[in-house]
Formats: sequence, structure tokens, C-alpha cells
Amino acid sequence: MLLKGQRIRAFLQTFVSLILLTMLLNSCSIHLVPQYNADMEEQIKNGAKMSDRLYLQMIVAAPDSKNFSIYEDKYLDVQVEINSILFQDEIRPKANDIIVSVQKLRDYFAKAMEDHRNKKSLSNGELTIYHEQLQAFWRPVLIEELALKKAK
Amino acid sequence: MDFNIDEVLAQMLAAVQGAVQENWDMVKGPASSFLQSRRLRLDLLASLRLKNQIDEQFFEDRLDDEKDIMTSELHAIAIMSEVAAQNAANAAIGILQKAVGAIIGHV
Repeated sequence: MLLKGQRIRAFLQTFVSLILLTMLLNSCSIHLVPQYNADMEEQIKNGAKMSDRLYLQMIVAAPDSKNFSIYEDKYLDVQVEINSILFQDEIRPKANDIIVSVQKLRDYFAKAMEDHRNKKSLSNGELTIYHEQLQAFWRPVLIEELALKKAK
Repeated sequence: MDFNIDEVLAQMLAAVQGAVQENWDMVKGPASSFLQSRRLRLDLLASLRLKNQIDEQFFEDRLDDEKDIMTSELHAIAIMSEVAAQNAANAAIGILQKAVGAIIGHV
């Protein structure tokens, strides 16, 4: 009789342990990166497109139509977009790597804008390099967000 | 039903290997694209400098900016590696979950 009681107790202990382990495992998944955000992907693509368009417009403009004052509003539009992406990333958990990339993009864009403001007008050679390098700063930011899509 | 820990561990290891291999393709593509686009930009920079379409200071400043681009790209590769590590860890946990779930189902 005692033996039977012990066996029931052991069974119940094992059963409860397994239930607890299952509950623990179900709540246990590793999170090393932020969650993918479809709106963020759209915003990054849109920001990249805006800066692409701005520089292409300046490149094709006539030499006397490349003055900073003509494009100041468009520069600000792109800057606002970058700042908004950075702001959202700063409050995203585990987004340290992404934040670095967006900060680098923000700083570079600010530098390119400042150079244009100081020189009043930029040559096509300068604009072409800024255009190419800006695309190169946008690329990792987008690739980071797309990588999050593959996180399980 | 027996809970064979060796078998579960082997399955967990296989799941980790599968996740890492799957994600290697994810890292390889962008990494080579970064290298290729860098080569094109450096060619462009050098060519514009040789044609005197940009001055020496501008050339050196932009060359310096390439370091920041590379830093940003390395952070993107770090994110991809973290995604791979996360997927591998969660695949292993998933195997353990299934094994324990199967035991409970038979109790």
C-alpha cells in the first residue's frame, strides 16, 4: 500500500515537473535583436528614396541652379526622416547596432548639407560622391531591418 | 515513452547547424555587395580626383568617410550574425519543447 502511494507521489512529481518545464520552455525564447517592424522598413526605403531624388535633382540641375537655398527644404525633409528613424530606434530594445548605423547616416547627411550651405553651390563631382556615399550609408540601415525579418 | 536525452541533444545540435547554415547565405550576399560597392566608390573617387573634378581636401574627407561606411556595414553584419545566433538558440529550444511536450502527451 505504501509502495503504491510512493509511486503515485513520484508520478505526480514528475508530471508537475514536466508541466512546469513545458511552461518555462514555452515562455523561453532568446531575443538578441529587436523585432522586425514593417513600418520602419517602409520609412527607411522612403528616406533613402528622398535623399536619392534630392541628389539626382541637384546633379541634373543647371550649374546656376545648384544653390543651397533652392534645396534647403528638401534637405530638411530628408533630415527629419532620418531623425524620426533614429528616434524610433533609440526606444527600441536591443537596437544598439542599428542605432550606430543610423547615427552615422545622420552625421554624414548633416555634414553634406553643411558643406553645401557653406559653399553655396556644389560641383557635379562633389554631388556625385555625396550621392554615392549617402546610398552606402542607407544600405546597411535597410539591410539591418530586413535581417530582422528573418529572426525566429 | 522514454525521454532520450542523447537523442534530444543530437536533434538540438542539428537544429543549430541548420539555422547557422541557412543564415550564412543571408550574411554572404550583403557582405559581398558591400565590398563590391566600396570598390566602385573608390574607383569613382580616384577618377574624379584625377580629372580634377574634386579637390584634394574633398577627396581626403570622403576617403575618411569610407571608414564610417565600413563601420556601419560591420554593424549590419553583426545584426545578421545575431539573428543567426537567435535562430539557432530558438531552434534548439524548440526541439527541447517538442521532446518534453511529447513526453507529457504520453503521461
